[in-house]
Amino acid sequence: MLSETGFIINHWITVIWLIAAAAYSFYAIYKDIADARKAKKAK
Amino acid sequence: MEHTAPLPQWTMFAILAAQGGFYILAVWLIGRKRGATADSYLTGGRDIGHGMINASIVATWIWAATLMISSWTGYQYGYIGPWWYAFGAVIPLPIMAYLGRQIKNVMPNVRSYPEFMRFRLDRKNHLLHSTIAVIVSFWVTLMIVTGGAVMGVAFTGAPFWAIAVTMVLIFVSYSSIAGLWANIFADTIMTVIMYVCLIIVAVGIFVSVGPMAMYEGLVNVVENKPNLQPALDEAGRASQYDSLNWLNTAGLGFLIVNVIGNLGAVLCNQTYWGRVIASNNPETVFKSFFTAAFCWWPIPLATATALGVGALAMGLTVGETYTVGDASITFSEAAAVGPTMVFVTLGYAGLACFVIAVGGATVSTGAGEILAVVTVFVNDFVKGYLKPDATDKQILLLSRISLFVCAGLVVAVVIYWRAIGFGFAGMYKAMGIAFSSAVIPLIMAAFWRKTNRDAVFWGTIVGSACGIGYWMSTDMDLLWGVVYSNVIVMGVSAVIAIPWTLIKPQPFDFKEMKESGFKLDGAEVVAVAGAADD
Repeated sequence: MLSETGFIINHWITVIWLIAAAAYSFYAIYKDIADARKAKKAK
Repeated sequence: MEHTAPLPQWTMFAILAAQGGFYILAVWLIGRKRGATADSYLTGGRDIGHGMINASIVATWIWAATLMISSWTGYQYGYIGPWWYAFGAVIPLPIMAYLGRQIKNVMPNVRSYPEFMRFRLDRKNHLLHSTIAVIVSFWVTLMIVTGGAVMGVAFTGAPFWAIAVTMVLIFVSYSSIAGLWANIFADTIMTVIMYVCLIIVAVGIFVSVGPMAMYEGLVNVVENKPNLQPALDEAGRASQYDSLNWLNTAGLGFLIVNVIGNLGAVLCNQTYWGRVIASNNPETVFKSFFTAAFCWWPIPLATATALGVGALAMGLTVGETYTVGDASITFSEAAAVGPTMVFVTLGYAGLACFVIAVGGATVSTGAGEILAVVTVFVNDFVKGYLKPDATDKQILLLSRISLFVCAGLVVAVVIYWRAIGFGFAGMYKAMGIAFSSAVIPLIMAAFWRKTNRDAVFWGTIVGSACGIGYWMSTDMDLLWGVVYSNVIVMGVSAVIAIPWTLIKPQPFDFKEMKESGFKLDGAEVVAVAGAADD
């Protein structure tokens, strides 16, 4: 049976990972927009 | 049982209409030129970068099942349910990274994965995989619309059929303007919105309920075995009483079904191939599918831990009505544990976040899946066989018409299945039996230059027949019957295709595929060198 500490760590992992995933996705989208603007200016 | 819902019916339609209206306007203003030619309409222009592709894969793979069934796994199997759900569902993405990069490298002009099978193997494999691709995407659309409508009924009490019709109308509307680019663009916006909403839900429940209180609740369930699902027998409820055990045996059965079923749902699904095709280069494909796996995994994991495991810990009981302030919600079925728990703990704020997330997931994925059905129909069936000399304009017009025809069919089937009581969880489990036999043949065709064309063809058919036959013999059992059927499907296809190829290899040079593909310039289709006709 999972211990209380193990369950708490499990719950923390789920929340922190979700926030990290969101941060990466937002950054990747921002980079796409920035690259597209650079390419448009270069034209 | 009298149904009570916390929101008035009109709010469901208002939320859907607001999202749909926003996408239609944004696509019209920014991307309508992308729908000017059939090739651009079906391929998204083949120039989309990593950020949008990553976001689109994440949004496409988040659908009603991600949030509803994953929450159910937490409620049914305890803390390990969300891990098994997420693990099983994420496995196909890294595999797709390799597969997608390979096919984009060897056949840059490809528009659908059955088209790859046509020029890599032969006509019979092309027809088989075209049929599978249409069934996969159509089936997933049915599940998406059903799941989204179940959520809508739980929250608002609006008629199931009305929610289904509204959802389907919205996701064909912006797709009809600019095709695949519109899908990916809307997915990108939806990913941002979903992350914000789900972080609010996950953090909100972490703060308001807390892991320590949840742990105490689970210990209570394990020790006192309360009857939280009166409609289930003891065997059906047993897994809830094992909720702190990672080796929960019913949960392991679900994991097997999840892994095998999800392989087919991604690898044989033209929707994900659309993201491969729309990418600006093979390395973007490879990177995006890997990062999407990292970005997608915590979505069901965190949501289901908060909502499903949280509901189990709080002892929410199917059939009960819960009141928050002056509003009530009825926990009508176990599959609706997600919306029930979020309303009970976070009230209207949580409810709004969850409805927006699930509604958006339904719309974005539904749009992708319906366009996938249309892409395979026009690119492979029409251009391949019915009207090989179809021009770009004709294909474009037919694509738009087919979207709306397909939408009508989806609504009709969804309403019928709901009427006969074919449940959402049952659809999900049976998915693997229907089409996972095509997975190993597809991988063989993409990487093994000696693949025997007859071997993969018969491996796919016999594997599927054996799995379905076994499942029927168990009276379509939705517990271990489905598990064994899924194992049989993949096992039989491998046992036929691999030894047959080893005994009778048919060498092929992938370099021959560089210029392959159905041409959209009005020319009749001519088999490009390297594709064997039968």
